[in-house]
Amino acid sequence: MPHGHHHHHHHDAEGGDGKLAAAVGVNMLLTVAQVIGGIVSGSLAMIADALHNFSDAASLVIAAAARRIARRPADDDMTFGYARAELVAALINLTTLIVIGLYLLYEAVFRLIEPEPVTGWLIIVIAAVALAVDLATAALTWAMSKDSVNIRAAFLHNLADAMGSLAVIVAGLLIMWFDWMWVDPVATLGIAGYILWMAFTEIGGVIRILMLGSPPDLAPDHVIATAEAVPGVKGMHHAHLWQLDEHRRMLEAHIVIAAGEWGEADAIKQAVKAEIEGVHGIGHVTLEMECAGHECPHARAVGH
Amino acid sequence: MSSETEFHIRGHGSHMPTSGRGMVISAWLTGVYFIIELGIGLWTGSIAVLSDAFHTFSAVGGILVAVGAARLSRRPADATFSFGWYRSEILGALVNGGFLAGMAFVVIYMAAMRLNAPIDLPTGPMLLAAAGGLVTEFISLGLIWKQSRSDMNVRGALWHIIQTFVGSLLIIVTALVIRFTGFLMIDPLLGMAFGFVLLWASWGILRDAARLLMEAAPSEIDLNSVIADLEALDGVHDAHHVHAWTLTSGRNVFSAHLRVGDGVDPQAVQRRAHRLLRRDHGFFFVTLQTETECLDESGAETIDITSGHQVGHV
Repeated sequence: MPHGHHHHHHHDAEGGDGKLAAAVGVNMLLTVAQVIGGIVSGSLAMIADALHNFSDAASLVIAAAARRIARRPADDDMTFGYARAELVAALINLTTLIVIGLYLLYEAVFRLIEPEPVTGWLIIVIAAVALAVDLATAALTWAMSKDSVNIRAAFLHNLADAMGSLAVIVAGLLIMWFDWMWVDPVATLGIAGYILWMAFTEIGGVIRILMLGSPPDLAPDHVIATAEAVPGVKGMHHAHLWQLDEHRRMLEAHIVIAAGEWGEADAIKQAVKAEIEGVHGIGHVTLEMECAGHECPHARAVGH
Repeated sequence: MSSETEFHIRGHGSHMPTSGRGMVISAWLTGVYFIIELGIGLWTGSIAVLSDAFHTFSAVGGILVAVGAARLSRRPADATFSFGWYRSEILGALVNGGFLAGMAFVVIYMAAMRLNAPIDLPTGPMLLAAAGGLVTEFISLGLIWKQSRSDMNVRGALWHIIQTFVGSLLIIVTALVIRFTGFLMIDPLLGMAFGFVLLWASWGILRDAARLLMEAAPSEIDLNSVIADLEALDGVHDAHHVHAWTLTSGRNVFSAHLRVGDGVDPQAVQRRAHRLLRRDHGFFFVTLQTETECLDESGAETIDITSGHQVGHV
């Protein structure tokens, strides 16, 4: 890296990879253990829960793989680099999370109508082991999830699982002690609601970036105003403001140089770039220069 | 520049599925058939029928996504989405691919569970489902066959229908094997096999959509030859910080810095470069920054493919 100042995701990237690998490993180990246990004991419940943990491991694998791919530099194929791999991974994980949430909703409603006494010590023990693994995974990924929507999506998967395991334990005990059958569907309903709410909150930002939307906290008008305040600039139009990833912002625009200033065009452009980077933190700016006599007629300020 | 601008505006016409009546009718047919097939699948408990129903669903989903995205992508650019809404199509494809993958896993899982405990299946309704499928697929094929030769989107839909066709054949084989030999395992076995076909199909969709969303260079464009063409233009010293990407299939975007010699009119260079990129290389939208000396863009080196061999770039 010639410049160390521009990115978060380089410091302790290795440590992060290690933690993610550990999280994947723990979930895979439990999956294998449950499959073997299920086959040996003939318990279908254990195999079903193995699938559960496998889906957790899969979402972690997607997140971790995307995180590694995202660090590759630009090449002839990906001229902006691979950073967006993390956004694609987040979209996939959030979409499957929404599907899981909808499925839980369906299950809960179904069981409210027709209660199914899923209980017994074996199921509670399986859930307790799964909960321990989920908590370990959460501890490993929590710190990283604050700064990355990709890791946050995998973390949410894991959180959904942890809450599910907890619900199985609590509901199982309450059914055995008090015969409260309604606890299980009601808890499932609550979890489904929470998961869907979180996933829909997160997915909006991801879709916005993938659809080349402008940064939510920066109106294009502000950037145009900043550029037009630079001496020698008559106007800015055809502005495209978008985000490469969660942290990097991009601008492409045409600027019109005031009449008589064309000789200074290079210096004016440099000043505009410095201003835009200084005020709005946009490091990647492409400006097409037009002299006042040849500007695009009736051009729109934003878009083209 | 005025002719350029007009070109821009005219260039915004819809390129989307051309589709028309053929696609819409086959979408309706397939949609109705999906509901019937899902019902039969749940009622009989046949994995083969269920997996074919899921596949039918993804075909309908693909058409719905194409139709919906065609509507959305007509929305003009605004302050939030300065490139317009073209990308909605790609997001739709990614979600559709994700659903298909999810359904593939469900089918494979169900088949694996069923291998443990095969159940007796009523073969009559299964054959009925398959027959209904064959009829729908033949009608759909007839409707879009002609169009599929010229339109890439429709060709995708055709491929989907052919897969469903194979699915219907699998159901017939399953039902006949059960009826004449009583070999119940055939249902989960063939169902699982088709699950892997679904997985493979979803992988293709996911890979293409992800490439586009990651701003991959269009596969039909050789970036190095574009750079060479730009550098061959009169007055251009070099082209650097080159980016080529795709808004949605068929709409390629290009941006670069051009270093021009002292005393060269940058406006003339831009006009020539725009013509080259738009006309010869088919780019939909181009932004070129001309300069007599290279500006240092701190922090942007990691996304500059020319920085490695660019003299004067630190």
